[in-house]
Amino acid sequence: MSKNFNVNVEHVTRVEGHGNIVLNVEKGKIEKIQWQVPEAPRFFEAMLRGRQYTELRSITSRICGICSIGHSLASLKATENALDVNISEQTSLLRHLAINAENMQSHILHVGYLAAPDLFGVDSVIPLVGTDHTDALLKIIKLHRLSNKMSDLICGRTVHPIRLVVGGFSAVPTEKQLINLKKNLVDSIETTKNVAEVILSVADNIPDFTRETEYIGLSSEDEYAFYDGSITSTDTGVHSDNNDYKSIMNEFVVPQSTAKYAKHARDSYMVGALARFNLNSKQLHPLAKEIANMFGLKPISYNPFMNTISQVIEFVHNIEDSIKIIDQLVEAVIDDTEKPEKINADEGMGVGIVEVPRGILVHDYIIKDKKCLHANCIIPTNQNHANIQKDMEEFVPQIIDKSKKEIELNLEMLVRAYDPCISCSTHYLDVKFV
Amino acid sequence: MKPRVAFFDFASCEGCQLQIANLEEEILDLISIVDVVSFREIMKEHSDKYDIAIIEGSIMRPMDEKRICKIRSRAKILVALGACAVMGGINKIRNQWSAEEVKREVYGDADIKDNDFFDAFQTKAINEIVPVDYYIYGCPIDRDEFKRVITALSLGKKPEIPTYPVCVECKKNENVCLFELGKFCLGPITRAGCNAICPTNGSACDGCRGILKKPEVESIIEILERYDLTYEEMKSRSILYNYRKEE
Amino acid sequence: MWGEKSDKCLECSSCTMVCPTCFCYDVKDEVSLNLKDGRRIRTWDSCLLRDFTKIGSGEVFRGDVRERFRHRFYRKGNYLPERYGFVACVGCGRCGIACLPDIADPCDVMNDLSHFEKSDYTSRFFIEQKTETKDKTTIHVPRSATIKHMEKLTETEMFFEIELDDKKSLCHKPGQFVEVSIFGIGEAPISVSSSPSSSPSFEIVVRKVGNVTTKLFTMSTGDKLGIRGPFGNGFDVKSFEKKHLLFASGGIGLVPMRSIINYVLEKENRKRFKDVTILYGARQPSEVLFMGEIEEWKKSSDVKCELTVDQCVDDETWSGNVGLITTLFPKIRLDKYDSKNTIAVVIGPPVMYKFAIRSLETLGIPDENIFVSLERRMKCGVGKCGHCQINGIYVCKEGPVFNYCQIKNLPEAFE
Repeated sequence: MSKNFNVNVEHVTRVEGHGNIVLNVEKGKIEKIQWQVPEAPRFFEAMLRGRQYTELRSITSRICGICSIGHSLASLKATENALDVNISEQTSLLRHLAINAENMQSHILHVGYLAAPDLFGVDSVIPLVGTDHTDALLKIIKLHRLSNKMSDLICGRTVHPIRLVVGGFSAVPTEKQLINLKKNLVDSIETTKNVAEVILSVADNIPDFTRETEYIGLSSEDEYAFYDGSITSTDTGVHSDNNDYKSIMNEFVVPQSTAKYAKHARDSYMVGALARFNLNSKQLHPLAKEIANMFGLKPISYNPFMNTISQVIEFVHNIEDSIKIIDQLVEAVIDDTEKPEKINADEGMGVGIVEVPRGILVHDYIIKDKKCLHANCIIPTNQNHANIQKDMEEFVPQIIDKSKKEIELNLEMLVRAYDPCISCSTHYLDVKFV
Repeated sequence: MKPRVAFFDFASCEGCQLQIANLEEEILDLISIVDVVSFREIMKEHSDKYDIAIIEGSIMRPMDEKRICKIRSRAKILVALGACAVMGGINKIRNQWSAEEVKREVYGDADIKDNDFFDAFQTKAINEIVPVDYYIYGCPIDRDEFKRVITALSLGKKPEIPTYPVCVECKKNENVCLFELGKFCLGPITRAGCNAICPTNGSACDGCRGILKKPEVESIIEILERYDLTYEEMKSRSILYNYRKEE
Repeated sequence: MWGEKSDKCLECSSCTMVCPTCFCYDVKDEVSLNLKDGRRIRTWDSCLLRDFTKIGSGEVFRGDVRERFRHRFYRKGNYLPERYGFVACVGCGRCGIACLPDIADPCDVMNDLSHFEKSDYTSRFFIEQKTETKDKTTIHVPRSATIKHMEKLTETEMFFEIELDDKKSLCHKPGQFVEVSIFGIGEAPISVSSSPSSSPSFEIVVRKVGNVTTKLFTMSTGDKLGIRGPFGNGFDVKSFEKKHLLFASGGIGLVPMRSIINYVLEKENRKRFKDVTILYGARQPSEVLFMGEIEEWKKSSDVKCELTVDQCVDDETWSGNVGLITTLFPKIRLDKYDSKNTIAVVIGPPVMYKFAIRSLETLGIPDENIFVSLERRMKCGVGKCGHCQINGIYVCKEGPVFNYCQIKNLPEAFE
């Protein structure tokens, strides 16, 4: 069949950041498939140069608005490892809560506002207002509000947290506030199940596409890993030394992207909710496991579109996990006057790794005289860019016979499934400051 | 007729737009009083006809400059959203070094010379390229302040942004002054409107809403001495959002 | 001394925010995002902030930090004690702790002040108040009113005839003002331009300068407003009886002046007063207000009326006087007896007072016969919120009409 057409989506909608999809087909032959990242580079590494160790978490949180809590935590872990700070058990639990809150907020935003419209066949959530789906939309908003209130309580503010500081928290919630939060979480379980059922009802619209690739994330013996864990790959297993992340995450520059690409055992790998599910599904809490079964999702799933479903599952897991943690904190009697731990060194090297909603995040600092000398950040989404490119190359031939509009939509859905955070991903590097 | 509003973003973290999505149920109120015709982050729909353009992010490259000029020509009112758009914000920290130096540090030897994507100059705030009608300060913006500005624009009145410092709101919240706790807080010279959220949460103000008036140096040094703080730390903190090239 | 201390002032207002006796407040209209409901709320305000005295046109009356710094101490140590009988500082020391440059402690300031010579003009900061508030229930809650008639006078001035919805008369005195509310937008103090006998409706003229006034311009007959008042002391017309009257207004000053002029010229009242002279100066012919009424005054044998414009732009036709209002004063002939027996009223932009009063003095009119009406930021209208203060005087309560003697030595009265 001789078809000539071009697909040029400039600045894909309903994703964070700026990405372009370019597809040129001439006489039925695919001439060019490209996932471009034209996002303006902000040169964060330059911003970190020479800054006080106390300021690093404020600056890095501004790498991204949605995963600002994640960046702050990774930054703090790196700083604390470098300057030999030991945080208290209470701080660790509160940080687990913070990461749960961020995960919930980001996932429900993505599932509800960014991805679901495609499944409903509309361009955004706005046309859903006033239709039969208004109820579902209101439930999604309710869950989003709960996640934000949780972040507000633990971190002071959901976008660019305030209370997360080196060594602990600048202000700690009271027992009363935590108990109230737990009540809200418990009350929201019913709503969450309803939303999961609504998504299930349109899950048939999810393309059935698979491509075998590697999945990388944190894993742990004790829990579904978010805050702590070891770097693990579906191909090579648990990695022994987190500080040696560079041997797994190999980055390289490509001209069509201001964000670098990354690879390990194959040409590309994927990080994110699906990767975490593939690596940690055994540690899901009971209700989350139920929801996974409801969608028929089992490890290892090679369909990138199922990333969105994994997010629904993680959302449920986060609620259950948070309830558990609050119980722990209340039982241990939370000390709301606890002050952050002091630093025990003026210089050092430290690596901080956490799982943020979109995947595994690494911050690596060298600090001298309490100032940052060397900073290296590996962002989840830039580890996904190569995988998106490879997925497109395999997906397009499978849908080449559809109409141009449908191809465009399918490619956009593919990109959206990854829940990319593109402005984050244009910051990565290896810089030495002399 | 409802005013038509469009959102655009440049070099930013999109946190300010996320704050708008964080209006939760009030988003339904928002779309009842204005027509949101373009909001790339949550909508596929787009229209080039709009009355009010709300811009987040700073200008970094010639291709960004072209885009903002086009937006300015289409909009009657232009609102700068957040510190990056209003005054460059954190993006301006790198202006301490030349654009060439910074690019070399980040991309090393990679071949990016004739690539438009990488062609960056010193960070600029929106009002350094096109005229801005209203400013919404903060990093990120305060949701309540955003609501006040939108309702004011819808009612046809001028939005009231405070011209007084954070101390007013901090004291109204009955906080203990952070200086007493040994921290250096930029609150006394920073614009209010955020309800002193950072000092209320125990973290000193970083001046993300913009410095109101630069106090006399002797006065600052005296204050620093009295509270046992260093000039170096103050200088370092005041660059975070308010970097200005020393003339 | 004030300069030395206030140079270090960061204008953060912490001193006033923590003070237990500070009670100045601001009133704001908050509207919900759905534009359907809202609240009018009262919040703390501080005289240390630059915009405390800012009015719709953007003018600030205590712009220099020195003036504001001084004002705070005089208010605690002077104005409030004179008004209420006790020093308004309880000695808690909070301001001293809260102040970062450590300049706010009243002990330090009072001790420094004591080194200076005691001047005896402090006793004149306080003016015995003669206004009584008739109906206490309506001081803070606006009454509903309707626009009966609107007319554009110039590009920036609009005339309104307003009637209260309960059909009652406003019962105002010439020289008083009302607070006009548009819910969701705000409230603005506007002088009443009509004579009390034009009931039940009353007239105002609005100049488009800020949010409320701009919104008023877009309204139509039949729209609703909120009215509070009348506030202010108004003219003491009894003291004008049996005297010659000289009314000198500049620009928009004619609006409040019109209320006393029309009152005096009314048939029932005219014979209580002797000769009446009206002088009016506008900036340009296109800015002359109430041209129709001016023509009538000019024609009338009962009153002498002179009109001038500061300048006449080429394409406007104007056959009258050209020159500042001061050029009209020489046209008045007054012998020694007459000038002692003449009451002069001057209302106009701040810059006009100095020159007009000098002209009046040249005519031999004594200071105690000169009355002015001053403008400040009137917010509550009843002498509580603190915004309209000139030194210790509340312009909304002891003014806006002042006898020149009372205020000629006040540092902040005429900028």
